[in-house]
Amino acid sequence: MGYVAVKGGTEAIEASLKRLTYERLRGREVIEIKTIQSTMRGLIDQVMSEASLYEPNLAALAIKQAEGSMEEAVFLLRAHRSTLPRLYYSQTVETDRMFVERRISASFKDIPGGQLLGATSDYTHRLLDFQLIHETKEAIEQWLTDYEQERSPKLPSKNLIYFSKVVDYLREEGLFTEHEVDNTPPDDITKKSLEFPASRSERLQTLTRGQTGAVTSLGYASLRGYGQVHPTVGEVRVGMVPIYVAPPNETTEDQENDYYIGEVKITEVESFVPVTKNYNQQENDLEFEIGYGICFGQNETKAIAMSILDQCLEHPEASFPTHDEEFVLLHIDSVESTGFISHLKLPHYVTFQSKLDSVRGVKQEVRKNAK
Amino acid sequence: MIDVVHDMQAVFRKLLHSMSRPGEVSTLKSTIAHTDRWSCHEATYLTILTLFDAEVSFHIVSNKQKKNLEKQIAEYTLARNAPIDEADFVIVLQGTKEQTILEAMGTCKIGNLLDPQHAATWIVENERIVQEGNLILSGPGIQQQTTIQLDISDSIIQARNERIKEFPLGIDMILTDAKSQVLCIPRTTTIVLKGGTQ
Repeated sequence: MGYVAVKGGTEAIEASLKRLTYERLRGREVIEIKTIQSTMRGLIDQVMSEASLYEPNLAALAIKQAEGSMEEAVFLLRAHRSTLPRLYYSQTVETDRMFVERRISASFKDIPGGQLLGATSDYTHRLLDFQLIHETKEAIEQWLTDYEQERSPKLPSKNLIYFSKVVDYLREEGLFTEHEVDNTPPDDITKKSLEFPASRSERLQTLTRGQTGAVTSLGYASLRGYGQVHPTVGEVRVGMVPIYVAPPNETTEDQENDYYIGEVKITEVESFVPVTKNYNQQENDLEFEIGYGICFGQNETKAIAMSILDQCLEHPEASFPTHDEEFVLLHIDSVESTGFISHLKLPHYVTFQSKLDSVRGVKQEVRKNAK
Repeated sequence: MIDVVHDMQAVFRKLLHSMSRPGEVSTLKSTIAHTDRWSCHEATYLTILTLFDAEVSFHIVSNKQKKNLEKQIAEYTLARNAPIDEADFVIVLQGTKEQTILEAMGTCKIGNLLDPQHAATWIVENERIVQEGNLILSGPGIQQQTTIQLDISDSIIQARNERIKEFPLGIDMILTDAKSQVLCIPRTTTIVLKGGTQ
């Protein structure tokens, strides 16, 4: 590649950095990390998910430093992530142990445990609320007190019930093929760069840290006809899952010894996709398969789009770009795509000169021949 | 006690500097006096604490008893002890016989053409590292050439030269001494013995 190190410009660069700080400060307002954390839930969840580092504090800091620029915040957090020592691997998280805050199914009206709407903007009118311009702390307090009172004083019973997965009911009916649990350790895309064909674990990792917009548009494209997957959302669940690590330097595999190190909020989606399977050459059988989507924080659109793409990539035989893993996986990463696009701003003086030379040469040739 | 975050960052900066300027000596010091006993040089264990985590494996080359140190490194850094042909880091304690080192040098990882980074990094203890001496270094990061003096024998240097022949394959070395000095010789550096050939 025709890159040449360009020297000089140090002072101009320093001045530019100063100007950047000036732009951040000139409004003379301080935004507290705490404020970002408690009011910008969606932004924080998105940054954590795309950076693949679950740390709401640092995500808020990244947002502050990046002045709210998504790609910059994700880049900052990803860069920080790469400096951290890797000490433990968590134990497998069983998502049916999730502390569910929201759980809906678009496939069945009556699911055992019921539909739990939780916090979502799905049912809002999307009208700008001008009253928020003059929101006060007192008003917030008042609202919260009212809300707490209104909420029935019934404390949750001590016997927590876990919501079983919607897909389990279909499994019981034999509408899903039972798959054996695949316990091969996942390939880690942060340690080994992608090679094709990618394993499913690599695909899922790439999709879950994909840029929300990119994952959504490719999922949408597939849905609209540039793909063969049109799913029904079996289940969307949002909630906290506990994370455990095994004590290091110990060989026992007793789960009792595991340490609880905290919980993370995730969105998990299981989409049902009807597929035709032919078992004996002639007989075509209709069955369901699952598209799986998961991401840090609450980001349902991304998780659903991921579940579509997961199912697309399971069927590479279809001749659509959304079924092509190189096309999908290599283009949805935020740092990679924004990085490559913005590298175009770097000096390309030499490469461009050579292009210019060849164009001039051709033109000269044409002129000579015309004479 | 070691101030894990700040000491290790300072050590990392110095290692990085020495690695990019082969032949330049840096002195590693932890800011807080340590109480734990380590059966290796201070510079060695500071380097170990800085570079190791659960992702890497190490192998100690020594003729003496090394079980305790292996256990200590694993407990402090969560790094895994591994056979010489798998280890990401090879640690040579001071006083190790030449023959033992040569054998390890012959079997350690040097990466492959697709993944040259899968090569071993050697941490080699010396009694004393001296800037200026009988080894002439040249290559990236060195203006013209620089000379150093080490305790390790010429045949080990020759064995090292043998392993780095096929760039980008090869091994990188971090040399430590009893006075907490470090000096790095990456695989890109050419070592010539004064008054001799490579």
